[in-house]
Amino acid sequence: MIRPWLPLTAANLADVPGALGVFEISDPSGVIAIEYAGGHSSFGLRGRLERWLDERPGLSFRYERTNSYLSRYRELVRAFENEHGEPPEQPNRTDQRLEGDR
Amino acid sequence: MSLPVTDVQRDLIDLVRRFVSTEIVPLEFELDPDESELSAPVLERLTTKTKQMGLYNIDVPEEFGGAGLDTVTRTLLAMEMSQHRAGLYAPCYAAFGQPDMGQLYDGTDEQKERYLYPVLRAEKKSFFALTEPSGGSDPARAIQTRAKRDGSDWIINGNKTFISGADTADFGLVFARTGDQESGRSGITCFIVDADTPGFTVRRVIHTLRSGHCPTELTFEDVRVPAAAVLGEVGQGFALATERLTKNRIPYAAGCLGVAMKAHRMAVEYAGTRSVFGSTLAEHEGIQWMLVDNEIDLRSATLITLDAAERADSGQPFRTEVALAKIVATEAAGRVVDRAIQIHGGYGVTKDLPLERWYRELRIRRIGEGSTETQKMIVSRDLLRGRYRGLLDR
Repeated sequence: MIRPWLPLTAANLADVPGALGVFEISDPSGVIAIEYAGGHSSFGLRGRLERWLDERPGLSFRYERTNSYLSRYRELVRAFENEHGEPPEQPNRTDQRLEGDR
Repeated sequence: MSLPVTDVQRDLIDLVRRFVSTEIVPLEFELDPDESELSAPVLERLTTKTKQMGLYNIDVPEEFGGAGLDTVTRTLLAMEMSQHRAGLYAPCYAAFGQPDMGQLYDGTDEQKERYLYPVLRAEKKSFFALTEPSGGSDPARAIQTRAKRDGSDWIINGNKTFISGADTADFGLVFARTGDQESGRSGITCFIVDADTPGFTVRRVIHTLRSGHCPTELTFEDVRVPAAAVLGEVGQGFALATERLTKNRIPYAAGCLGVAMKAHRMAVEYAGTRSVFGSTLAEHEGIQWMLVDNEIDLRSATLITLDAAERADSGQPFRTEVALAKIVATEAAGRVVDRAIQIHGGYGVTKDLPLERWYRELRIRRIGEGSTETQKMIVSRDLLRGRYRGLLDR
């Protein structure tokens, strides 16, 4: 993902499109979550990122618009696993395959 | 040519149809519209049911614990199994078993123990690596990946592309040239390569119209495998590959038709209820003609596909029939779904309905497993070389 990291603030989220895509969340320790805004998501990337707003202070995000959001998401998770030996902790996420992406 | 559906086949069709409507479709209300996988617990729950139905490992011969269906029955069920959102490429999310790796039935006892049986028990995943950057339609000439002997071992070097599932697989069947470039199909050998073999790399995921799926690019750099990794005979790999590809094209075609049947049924229903210009869509001639064109496409393609299946069961050559089925089913299904979208208007292209996914994925079907043009070459060869016998002359 080549977009720059941005602080996770309401002002920054206002510029995020309501499109399909993938995004990463980080704290000072590094990437803590990789997610996607899929076909069921209300307000796309912006809507999914807004769920993280009140999670905890000091978070950053970056995103990528793509219609291939699922294959790109799996690619990002796989790359993370290859680098760190395990998937990101995903504290704010249930299994999207079970819960859908509403 | 005789294509009546037997009572047993009818019962199996009803069984699978019920499974799709009660077990699969409700799940898809919750899943992402592009999803092709289920979580392990949900899949396990479903496979428990297909095992009780006697239809788990549907493509596997009976002697290996599979359903052991004839090709016509398998084709009829493929038309049912695909009638849901993910059904084209992930019929029932693999609840009826993983895609067949039929080449392994011909493996040695050691290869069966190490690879075949774990695959059948869903403990190992595999990939099938034939296509290369130099081409996939004519693998006999296109394969540039080379395997050279080094003592009793083989050293593999080269690249593969559009390989499904290699990023999560435990091993793969890799086709490499062991003869010289001019040796054609007789110079290709199939190797079983473990995914953790040094020098084997999944270089990248290729993003396509199928969002829920990850074809990959592979690199082989001095990948050393033992002589025991050769599947079948040295130089006979091409026959292993084409045998699988030819027979697989029948359920492949049938899956397209299942999706198109579902899309057509949706279009008929919608046309009967949607009001426009003071009457239902169905009362407009333009819509009626689209529906009739769908019916013509579906009936003709279904008959041609079942004819290919029956031919395969008869033990007679069926390459031409399969090529025709692959052409008409993929092309007709694309047209049917396109018309169904047109009838649904704006809703047809939203992710609220499965039509847009089928439209995207069916476009790939005209290329995958041998493009329409490649299939036409197969048919025309038989026509022009005097091997082909017309429908009434067979």
